Amino acid sequence: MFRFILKSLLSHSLSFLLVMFLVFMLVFRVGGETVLPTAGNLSITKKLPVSRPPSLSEMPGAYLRWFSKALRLQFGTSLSSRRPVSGLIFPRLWNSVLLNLFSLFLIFLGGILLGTFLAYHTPESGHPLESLLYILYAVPDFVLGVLLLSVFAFSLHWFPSCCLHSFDISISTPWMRWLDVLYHLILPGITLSASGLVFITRFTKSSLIEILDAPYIFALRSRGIPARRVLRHVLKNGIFPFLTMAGFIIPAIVGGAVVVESLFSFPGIGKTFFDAVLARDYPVILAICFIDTLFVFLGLMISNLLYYCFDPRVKYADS
Amino acid sequence: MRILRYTARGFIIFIVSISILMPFLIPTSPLPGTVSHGATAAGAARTSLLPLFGISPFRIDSTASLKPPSRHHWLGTDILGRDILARLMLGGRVSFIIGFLATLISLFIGIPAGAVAGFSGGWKDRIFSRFVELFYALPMLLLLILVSGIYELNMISLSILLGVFGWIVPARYMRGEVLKLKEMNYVRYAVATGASKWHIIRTHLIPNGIGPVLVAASFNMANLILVEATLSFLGLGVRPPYPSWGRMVYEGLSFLNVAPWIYVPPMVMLFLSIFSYDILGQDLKRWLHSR
Repeated sequence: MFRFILKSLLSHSLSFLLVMFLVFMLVFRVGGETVLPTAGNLSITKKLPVSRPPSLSEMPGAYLRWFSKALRLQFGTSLSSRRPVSGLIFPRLWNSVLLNLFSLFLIFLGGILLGTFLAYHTPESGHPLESLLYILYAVPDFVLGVLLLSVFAFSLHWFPSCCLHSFDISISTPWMRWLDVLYHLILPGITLSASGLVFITRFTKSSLIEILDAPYIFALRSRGIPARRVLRHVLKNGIFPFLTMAGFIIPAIVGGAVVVESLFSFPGIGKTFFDAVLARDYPVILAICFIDTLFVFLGLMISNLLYYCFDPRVKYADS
Repeated sequence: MRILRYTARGFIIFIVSISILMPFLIPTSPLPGTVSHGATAAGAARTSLLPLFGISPFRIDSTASLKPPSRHHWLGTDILGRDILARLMLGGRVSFIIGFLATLISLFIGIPAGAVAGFSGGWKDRIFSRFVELFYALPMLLLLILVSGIYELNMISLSILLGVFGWIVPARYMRGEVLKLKEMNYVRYAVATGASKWHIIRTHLIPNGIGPVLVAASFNMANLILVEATLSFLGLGVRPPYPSWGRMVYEGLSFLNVAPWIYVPPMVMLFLSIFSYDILGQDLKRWLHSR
């Protein structure tokens, strides 16, 4: 167990170091100089202060210096707002994490329920619900977002169209405040979870159908064990592959958050990234790439670890 | 399901033929003097063979701003008075060409890379596999937003960018196929008779292993079109005055309640094209299995 953790930690850390180096190179090779904002007193003849990217030979040294600071979560100061990057990012990161957790919850709850239903009730010709899933899969997330916005926010006025809190003083108790946040999360959460939902539904369906065909399920059924208890066996065997799926879904969600957060004016990390790209604010861009990639690797490692704990076959292969 | 499948096939034929015939239908690049005011341009700007589609997607007409669908403008006009139908058609061409070119580029890089990695094995394969692993961990969309946010991209450079970012998918599939084919007797025979590596890859491995790669490429094409639309929606991607479906949705956002005819048609077209390439991939897959 300990050796397994150590091994995966080492190999993932190495990959992380390499991936961030690629990102670092790309950001500075693509980027170029940034004109720094000056406080007042701007004249055309005066040369504007410019931040110069490191040259190619300085790159590895600059990268290692940046990386060792980034590990301590020191990302320097933002070029456009002159504030420390970590103070700029972390409150918004929390908002984004909230949004992602909410949509992960929707994805797994909806996907597993739908998938189980389809695995049990699919006739030879295909369930009509399945065609619906195909259609949902092909809808880009911003199209779904615009549809939801125009129908539920602007026409019916059921849900708010932006932000994370209401500007309402009467909401004062913590409970009400949480409900208010949840109310604001619903539209962006649904938008963000649509494609993942289809993915998990298909995955659940195919893996459950495989298990339903297995001899041990046949044995249970032929002994006359009631369907509900058979379902318990099916789910117990079918649930573990999901743990690894989480590792694949999280990065897709973080990428999609840029679009959804911009559309819903959600004060999250994706919108911050987009604004930073337009302002060529390299410290912020690098910091967000760092955090995003860190999440990807953490997700991978956690899913590996869970797989190791729950699937005895992996343990045998290791020892 | 069958109806969905026929819709998808019909749509692909439609969009390909429209894209090819486009220069005969409407102007495909902005010409000098396209800004016009009112009645003078009503008949004068019909440059194409068919009078129906003679309207330029670039022609700005201040008197026809935000007009709902009518006899002159079948799908209405946007804030600058440009015809939505013409822009929708040209946007479809842009999206199709970018998706197709990017897929082609990704195949051109991916097939040789995957074939060499799978056939040579050893350190080349190890480096390749490690590279694939790293590539999947890259924050891809963030980097694409970064590159296209800083450079002004046109159609060609955007397809090259997407192709370079997307080559890993065909490469992975090609490698998997080559690993299987390597154990076949005819390949072993070719190796034993001293055929060169490139000869074997060219005449045996690529023709026999290309099927699943093409299936993956057609799914990937849907994905690349989606990425292009997403970039355009964020205001990056292809720059104005060229229309793009994603960008049209973005422009329509300012008139969410006022003028739904601006953003609904491109949304429908985007959905239909992504859906169609997905179905195309499934058809290819089924055809390959039934062979």
